[in-house]
Amino acid sequence: MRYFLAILFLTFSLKASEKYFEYEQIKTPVGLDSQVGGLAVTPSGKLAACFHRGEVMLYDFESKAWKKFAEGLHEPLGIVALSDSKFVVMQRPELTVLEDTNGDGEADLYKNLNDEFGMTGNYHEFSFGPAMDKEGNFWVGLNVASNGASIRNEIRGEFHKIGLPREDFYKSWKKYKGPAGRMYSRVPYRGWIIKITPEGKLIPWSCGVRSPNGLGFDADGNLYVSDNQGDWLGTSKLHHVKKDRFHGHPASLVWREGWTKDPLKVSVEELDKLRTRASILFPQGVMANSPTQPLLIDHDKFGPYKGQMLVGDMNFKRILRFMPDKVNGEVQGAIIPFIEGDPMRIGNNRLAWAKDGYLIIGRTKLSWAGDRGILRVKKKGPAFDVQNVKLTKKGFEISFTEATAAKLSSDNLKLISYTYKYHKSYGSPQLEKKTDKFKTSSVSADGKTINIEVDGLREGFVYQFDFENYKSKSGNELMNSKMCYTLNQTIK
Amino acid sequence: MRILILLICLSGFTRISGEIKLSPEEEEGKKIYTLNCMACHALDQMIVGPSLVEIAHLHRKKPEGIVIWSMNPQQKRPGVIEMPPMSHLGEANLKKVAAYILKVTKGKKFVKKKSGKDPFAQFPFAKIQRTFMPNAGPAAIAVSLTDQLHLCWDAGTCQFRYAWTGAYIDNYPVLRGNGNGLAKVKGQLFSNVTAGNPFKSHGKVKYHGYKKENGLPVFLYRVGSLKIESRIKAASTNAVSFTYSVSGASGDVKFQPAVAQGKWSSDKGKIDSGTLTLSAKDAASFTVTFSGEAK
Repeated sequence: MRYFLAILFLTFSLKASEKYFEYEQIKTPVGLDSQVGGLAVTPSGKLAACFHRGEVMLYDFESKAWKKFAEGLHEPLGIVALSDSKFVVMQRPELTVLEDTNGDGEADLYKNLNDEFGMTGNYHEFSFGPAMDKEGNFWVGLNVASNGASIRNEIRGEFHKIGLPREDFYKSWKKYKGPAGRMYSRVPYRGWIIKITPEGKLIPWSCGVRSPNGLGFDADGNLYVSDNQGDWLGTSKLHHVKKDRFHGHPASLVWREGWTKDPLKVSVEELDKLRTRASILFPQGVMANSPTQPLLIDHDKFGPYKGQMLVGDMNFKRILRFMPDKVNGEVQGAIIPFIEGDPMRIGNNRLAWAKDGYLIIGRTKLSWAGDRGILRVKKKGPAFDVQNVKLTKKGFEISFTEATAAKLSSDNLKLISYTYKYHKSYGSPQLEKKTDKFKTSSVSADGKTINIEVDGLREGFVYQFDFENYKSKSGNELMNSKMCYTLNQTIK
Repeated sequence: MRILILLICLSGFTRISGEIKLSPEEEEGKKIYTLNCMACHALDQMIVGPSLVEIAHLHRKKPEGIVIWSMNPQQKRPGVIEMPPMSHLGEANLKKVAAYILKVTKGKKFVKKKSGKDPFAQFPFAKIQRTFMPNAGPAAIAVSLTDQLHLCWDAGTCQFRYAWTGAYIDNYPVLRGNGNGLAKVKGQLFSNVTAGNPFKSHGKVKYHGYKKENGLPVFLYRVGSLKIESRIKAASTNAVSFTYSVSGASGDVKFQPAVAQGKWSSDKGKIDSGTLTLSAKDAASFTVTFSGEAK
């Protein structure tokens, strides 16, 4: 009876996600609009957070006390801690160094490190980042403008002559919003990933992003940036940034040296040849609708995932895990929900590791679906989970954290594949969808790794794995049963 | 003990019976909604677009209106961005979404909320606040000098733009959404200067930031070879003064503000036809005062 009761109690009181993680909502000060634009942890272990109304606040995990460090910033969307008294913040108009030079605990110097990029005043021209590399350079993503609105009378930066004439931006917007383009880049370097050196020099790096709300480095120093479903993005993506790459959204091409064409008039075929496919796709409605910051897992406190990355999402109560897989020298790979469901909320905009290995999640909404506040998460113990996925010549090698109870077959795994259309329309349905036939070709001696062979792997497709009632040898259920592998290339 | 079990069981059943039963068509509509609409339309509160409850309120008598609107949306609400067309989903799918919207909102009454109210209104804005200000460049800074005297400084052109008496700013039009708005000046302007740095005859303008002294900003910038610091003071109820420290001048320094409202004067140098000319020595520290009638 007691056993029965215990099971009943567990069933009703413990949400699935609480089996694997512990949660603490961090209380923010009364009167603070706690929409989080950026999170960082200082060398002494304090949490630094920047908020929607422009504050930078420091939080002491021990005393649970907040202290204001800076204020008055314009929509700060990222922060890096250089020390306990010096931070770099990306706000709409500039990359700013905030420094407490007199030791009173508050910033008294708001130094402009770089503002040599344009602003039309269009609401959609958000400035994301910075992510700092090992050399101390700052990496920033500049949003394109949206034709949901026009531009301001006074702008900052050169107005590019390619496209709708500037005077038409001030006429009936209903008439000219179409010709302006769904998303437009008329001042430098909208739709670009830019590098800003520690001395404040701006170097345009790669273009073709739409809404790059999240930049992060992996252990080898590769930079990843997320991008949001919309025009030219059939579904949301994670790009691997390299110099001179074009990631697919054409508006920003006008700022390439020597570029002369109107991006709205370039054929899809030509653009498709120019672009570098994203490392992974986040199938809309399946994995993420608005992916946010990628964060390297640089320790083992959250399980055997060191070297992989976490990515937040705005629309699901979810943090995802990215398992990179290098194929023919290029990164592709799989994405799987990691922290999932209540008491998580939506709006998971920013992530940071506290010194004790807790994950800190900052939420925002900015009028879209989202939420406010800060959550602290700890992994409880081992879980039966997909540890990694690698593409093989004929299929996939899937490693689990525990020995599995059975081979993979159509009884416990549904495998489907589909692709998305690259076009100027907003989003894309899943196309050429089919159920894939597969068979288990081998199981490792420890029972943890299973190889499957798939009939006819298709390049440029997402492979969606739906595990059904799949258990470990010891009877544990799979922590998350849905994952997607983006297969850009088969092994050559 | 039995009561405990009963209670636990009941709590579970309540949760299940509270869910709305959907037809296959509505279930399909829910899926399409989750994929394509949810980011901007929540059940019972306005986020980017109106809530499902409001949409149902508008279209319950003629549900095809939801389909027609989604195929070809228009700019309708002031301050709200226009919805992207959903025509790629097709009429058949949009009909399913409409069916889902009507079902999930059934019995829920739309209550028009008063918009534009800042939930954090009792907490003052920062005295130095970067935001979208009216009649200035997009990289503007609002500065509150006293309870009754405030100004706008443009970090794009590195110049004073305008000053007003009365209350400070309402920044909520910028903050309430995704930045598609301008802060409101809550007073009357007494001085207004057109865009264009007053030192611009010396070369290119480069903003370096500001340091805080006694809670007020000291703006730091360069114009050509000139290195400039400017400190602000409330000179009277309707006058604001800027003390400039200019170094790096090789000869005379020219200061030409394009004043559109009010008067201006300098404690040093000579003003002739709107141009203040200063020796390099005088330029090392001089004060310009902008004043006028508030209107």
